[in-house]
Amino acid sequence: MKKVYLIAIGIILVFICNAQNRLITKAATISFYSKAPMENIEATNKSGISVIDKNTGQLEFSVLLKGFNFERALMQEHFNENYVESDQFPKAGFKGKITDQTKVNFAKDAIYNVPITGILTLHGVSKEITTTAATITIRNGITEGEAAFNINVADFNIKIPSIVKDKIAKTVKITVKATYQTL
Amino acid sequence: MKIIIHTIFCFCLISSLNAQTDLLKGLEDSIPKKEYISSAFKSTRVVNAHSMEMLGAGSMDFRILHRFGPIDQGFDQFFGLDQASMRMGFDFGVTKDLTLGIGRSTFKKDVDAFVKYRVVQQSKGPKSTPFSLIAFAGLSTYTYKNPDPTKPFTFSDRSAYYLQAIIGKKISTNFSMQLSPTLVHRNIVQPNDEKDIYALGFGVRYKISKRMALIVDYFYVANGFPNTFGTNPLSIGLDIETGGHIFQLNFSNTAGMNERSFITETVNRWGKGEVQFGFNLSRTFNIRSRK
Repeated sequence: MKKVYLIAIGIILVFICNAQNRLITKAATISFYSKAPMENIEATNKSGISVIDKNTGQLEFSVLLKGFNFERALMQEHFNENYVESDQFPKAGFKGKITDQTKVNFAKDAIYNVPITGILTLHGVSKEITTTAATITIRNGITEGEAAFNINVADFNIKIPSIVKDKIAKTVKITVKATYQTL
Repeated sequence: MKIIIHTIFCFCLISSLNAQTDLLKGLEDSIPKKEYISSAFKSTRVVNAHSMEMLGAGSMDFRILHRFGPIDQGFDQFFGLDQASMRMGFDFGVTKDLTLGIGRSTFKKDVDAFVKYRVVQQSKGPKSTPFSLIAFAGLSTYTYKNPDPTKPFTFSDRSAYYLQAIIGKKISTNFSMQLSPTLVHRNIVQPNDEKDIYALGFGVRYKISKRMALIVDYFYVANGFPNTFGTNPLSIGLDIETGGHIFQLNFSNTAGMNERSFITETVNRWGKGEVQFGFNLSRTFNIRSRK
């Protein structure tokens, strides 16, 4: 009987340990921007969720495409209806890794440059993305992450019709900002 | 003791493996999922009737509608294209649930205005509603000169009012439909006609591609006959969306472009080939930033 208790305690400990190694947020800001001759396209989503595993450097993001807010209602409708087809593909996600996570000491206040590699899934297409424009900032023990990278919309099978080809940029800059909490 | 260590080790392994594959597991489900359904119709009109769709807040929709003469007139009238009547209108999205609009048609110099308010928006998830409900009220008034100056022709005489409820549902990504019970009240009618006309509208949208959809717009007029020559308006059309523009090409037995006109004044019959071509052109402008 004693054994069983010990095992149970062991298991619980393991889970707690694991949990403590994770940083989470449900309010990551994910925005994208594309510059084009006719009109710049810009949208922000403030309810992205993200997790970082401090031990392994694994990180994940998930965001609902319908949660992106545009300045123009019509643009938002077109984004969902015609480009990312959010009825069919409601979420975009990223699963990746901080290439050298041993460099980051989550207990010490500092700004760390953290190259990230991972798989971005959008519109049903997964593609590897690498960025060096990513930082982790520890300020008063709170972890903040920031990253930026460019994607080609054509890589994700998002078609721009010929009639608006000159109005819409083929490359989109994605910016991510997140303030994490310990789970 | 060994067993315990083994067990712990195993769990460590399992959970670390788990962590690698699914860091987000359990987190995503905790997000509330009430989600409003949008884009049931491409435009705020099916063809003639108002659809369950609203204008976005801060948008202005400039609409130019053309209706031509009956096609069966042949080449002599270029299949009706020689006889155009048009309505020009502006709709304003005050909030996402309130749209105001005004327009003027060439036929009888008809000025019309409306208020459209979405009471309920279709949604899914917790506390959702499976349909949208829209309340609509409008006024149409003829502004042509009094043909007989010996008799008064007051604002009231020239005007008609209409009330409508639109109950609509986006059934799938491609298919939406709506019902719209309508009352049209006219202040002056021919002796054998009714002042209050009751009608039930049916509207359907079926998307055939990302930017094109088939649309059908029909009104069953309950008490328009047999005292008048009126018929039920049926319009079949194609929505084509090109960025900021929406073109709605249609064939119809009505040339009316507001509720009074197409519900109470339609006389042509599909069965006799009295069909006319028309199009709606809608261009949306952003006049107020949403932020």
